[in-house]
Amino acid sequence: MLIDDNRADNYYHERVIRNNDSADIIIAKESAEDGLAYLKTGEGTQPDIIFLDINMPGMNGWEFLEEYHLLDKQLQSKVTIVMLTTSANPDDKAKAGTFDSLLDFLVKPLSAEQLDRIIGSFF
Amino acid sequence: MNEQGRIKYINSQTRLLFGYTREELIDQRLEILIPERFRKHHPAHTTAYMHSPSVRTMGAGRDLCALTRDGREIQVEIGLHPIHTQNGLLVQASIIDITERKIQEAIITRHVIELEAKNRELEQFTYIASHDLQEPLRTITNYIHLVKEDFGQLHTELPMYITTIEQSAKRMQSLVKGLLDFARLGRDKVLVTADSGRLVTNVIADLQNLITHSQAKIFISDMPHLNVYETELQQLFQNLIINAIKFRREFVPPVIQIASEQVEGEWRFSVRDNGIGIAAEYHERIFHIFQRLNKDTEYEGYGIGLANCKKIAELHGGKIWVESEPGSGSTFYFTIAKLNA
Repeated sequence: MLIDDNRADNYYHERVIRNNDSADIIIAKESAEDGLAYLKTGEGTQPDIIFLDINMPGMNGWEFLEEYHLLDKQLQSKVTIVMLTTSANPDDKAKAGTFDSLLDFLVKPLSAEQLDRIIGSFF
Repeated sequence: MNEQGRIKYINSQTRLLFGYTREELIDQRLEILIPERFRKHHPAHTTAYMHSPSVRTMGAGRDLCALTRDGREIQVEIGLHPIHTQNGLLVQASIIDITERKIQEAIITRHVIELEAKNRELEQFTYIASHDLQEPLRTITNYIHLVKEDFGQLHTELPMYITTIEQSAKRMQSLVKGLLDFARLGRDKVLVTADSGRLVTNVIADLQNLITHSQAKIFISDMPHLNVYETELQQLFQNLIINAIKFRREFVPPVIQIASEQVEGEWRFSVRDNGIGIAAEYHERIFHIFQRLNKDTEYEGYGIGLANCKKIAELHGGKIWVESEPGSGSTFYFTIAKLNA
């Protein structure tokens, strides 16, 4: 699942994931609220990996994480979250380190190598 | 003032300060010079002092108020000095009017707070501006990549156009990143006692490839231990050394001399090269961000290095300047103030 307000980035990342055969289904959400709502319903395909942007209008990536932690623990146990952001800001990177639920902190754009590394470390 | 807290002698300065005549004050209780609200507790303080008189200032760091004849309150500092006389214990009080100083202090404090707020705002602004500029740039780069992948073979000139767009986008990314680094410079600085000579040898180790490739010779004279922001100062040396190598004359291997000298309580460092030199009219401008003197095709760069150097020297309470003539090398000087760790 891609959660990013930037449609162009979602499209690009979808393409990188598709071309790399990394996922069967790609769900793109253009706001943290939409992403959260999707997870809350528990309906449809639930994601294995969420790529999460930080700077988004409305709920940002950090706030999404706080809300996400309130969700069903069983659901959480099946999901891996990776920050994928423009921010090379060391403050954000340091902050990401304080969240156990975050597997990684990547700076856009997502590359095939990064994808393989993440998937390799998990599945 | 005697042991009972009555005024016995006053000098003319005190008369002027409080606006009383000598007759009006002699044998009065000291409380006449104190604002009403402090009067009640004052005799107890006097008694306590008389039990163990010593030379000290009054009020232990608190602001003291005194009352003049015409009812004005003034801020004062008071020093107490016991004198043992035939007529018993007297205490000499030296009263300094610090009202003006307090007003000045308040103004300065307000300015400092405003300045700090402005600085934070500016830093935040630069940060956000450069961060938000990165985003569309990255999208451009990404999508050029897609065009190249999907349509690169279609037209013979397309790859060249795309490469040009790509290079421009990359250059802008580097500029924005430079701006971001510049804004962040010194934000997490830590003052430590460091061996400045070791900082230079660190830089030389890091630049080994460049130095070997350019056949540069670097000489370091005695360098001091001093209190500095280590990472930042090392970057300053690094930028100056890189420049000294980069702006070398054709077919002339760079010779760089690094020295230090103590001048009027500051350390003054110099980095001298035998490179192309800089015309006098540019001696100021080179330290401004994004200012460059040479075409990209001759000397690649972003115009950020020396702006960083200036900021780092200023972080250390110092200055940076250059002495140079075209064709006869440049000497960059910077100073570092004595900083308390």
